[in-house]
Amino acid sequence: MTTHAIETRGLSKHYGDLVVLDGLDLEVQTGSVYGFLRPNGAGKSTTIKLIFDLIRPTAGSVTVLGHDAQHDGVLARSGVGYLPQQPHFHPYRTVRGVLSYMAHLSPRAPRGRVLHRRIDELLDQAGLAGKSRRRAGVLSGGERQRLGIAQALIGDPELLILDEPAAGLDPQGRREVLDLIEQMRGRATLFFSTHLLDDVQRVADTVGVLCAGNMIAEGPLGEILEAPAAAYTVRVLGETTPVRARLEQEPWVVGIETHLRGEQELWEVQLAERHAGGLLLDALVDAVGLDVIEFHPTDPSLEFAYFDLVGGER
Amino acid sequence: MKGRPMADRSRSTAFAGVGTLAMVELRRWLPRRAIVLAVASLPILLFVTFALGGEADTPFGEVLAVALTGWSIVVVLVVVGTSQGVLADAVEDGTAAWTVSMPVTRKAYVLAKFVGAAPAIALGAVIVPGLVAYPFLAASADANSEFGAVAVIDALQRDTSAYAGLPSLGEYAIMLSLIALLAVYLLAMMLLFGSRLTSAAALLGFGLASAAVLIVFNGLGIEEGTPGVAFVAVLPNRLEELAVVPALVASAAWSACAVVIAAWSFDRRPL
Repeated sequence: MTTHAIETRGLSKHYGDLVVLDGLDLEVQTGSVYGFLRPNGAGKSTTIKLIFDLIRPTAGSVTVLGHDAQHDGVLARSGVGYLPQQPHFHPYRTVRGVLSYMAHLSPRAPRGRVLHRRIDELLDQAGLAGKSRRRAGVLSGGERQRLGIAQALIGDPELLILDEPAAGLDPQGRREVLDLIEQMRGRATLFFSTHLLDDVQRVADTVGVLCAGNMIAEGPLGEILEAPAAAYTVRVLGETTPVRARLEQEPWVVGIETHLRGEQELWEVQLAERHAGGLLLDALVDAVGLDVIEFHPTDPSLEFAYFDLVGGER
Repeated sequence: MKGRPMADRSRSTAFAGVGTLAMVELRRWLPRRAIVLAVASLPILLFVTFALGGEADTPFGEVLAVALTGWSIVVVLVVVGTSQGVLADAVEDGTAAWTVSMPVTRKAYVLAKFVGAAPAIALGAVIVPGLVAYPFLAASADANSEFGAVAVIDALQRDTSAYAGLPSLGEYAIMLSLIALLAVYLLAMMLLFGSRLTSAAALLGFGLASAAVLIVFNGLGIEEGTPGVAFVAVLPNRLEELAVVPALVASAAWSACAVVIAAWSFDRRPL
């Protein structure tokens, strides 16, 4: 059994002069829950399309469950369940019909009575048990997303690829989707792409950060959170403008995000280096007409780590 | 261990899923779209026939030839119009990408589109309205009777070979088969164009152009061996001259070639 559910080697995709992916090396360990983070236009959709052989690479290779995705595509996909970013079902099919259709295209899905039971089970799990006869075309966004997850699971996949599974969902729908991912932990390898950092932090155990076509960080979530950047939460009262302006000029300050709390201001100060916390405290204490009410390191957050890695601002 | 090794199954499942996908496609066409095709097609055939049949001096064979030729052209337009989205719409709305992300090859997907849509188009646009029209044509062929329900019933009860210029039901069925193959060929061409294009206007343009090529072939007298032979088959006494089986085989072969090229082309298309 291969140790990597997905493995890309030197994967590149160019459109003329535009380089979307540039020698991507990706390794998704079997059994892991892999969060694939990216800013828009980083090449995330391109990577997923290459995994499913929907487009061909300019260079490099993709292996899925030990099979070459391009030359042995049917075998590679036979153990994969897929939720596209925007699931497109035949609108005239019922919810049950969609699952039945998917099952007939999946060599690993059960048949006959066992299939009926499996569909009932998935509908129940997805919270669609009462809507099995509803046409797919009239489902709400959240229901469609849940049906999308159910259809991805119908073939009892070894690998589940979810493209923005919680995008566009209300908080309740988002929580249900994340709960479903949690339930799948240990039963299959999960690879999900998202721009929602909280989702990754909540369910992923491995994170890959893609930026401008390159994997700029990949590893266990704990390691990514230990990125060199540091952040401090500061609550101040008084003459805040001069000191903030001065801090923003300092080379060891990456950025300051300000929130008003009545007369007080809550700052989230991102520092270039962890030891710059002392410099920050000195600057605040020395400031004239400024009372420091709260000062402490911010809890490690994937958001800080992410923006530190991609070099952007929050 | 039961079953074959996975690699063997992979080779044998290159066309797995075709049946399921073809049924999905057929269901898109049946019954509604096929009925629409038939309902649109039948009155046109009857109208053309009866409109021309009023000329007492015109032999019925010529009337029928003009009617069937005119009807075939209408069928061509209807098929091009209705089938232009068979593949292109699925690419546009994402269902094609979704389907081929399953363990299904793109070749199987294109083949299933064709296998599912072809019978619906052949039956809906040609065979059913053509056969329904036959007794009406027989009634029209009877120069002494005026068209009406009585004449139709009368015609159905008589030996239609008695009417000058009216093909026997067998000959008529062959004519219809050739026209149906023409319709199926155009479906295959629309799949071929749809394997590369998504613009409805471009698809319609290419579809009509491919039909126009067949008409040009007819004009140049090199229609034999092409799906355009359907236009020849409906001319008076020309069916007898045609090598019918090779004509049917050639028309089917053109369609098969178009589908194979469509599958090859679609296999290389980014989705």
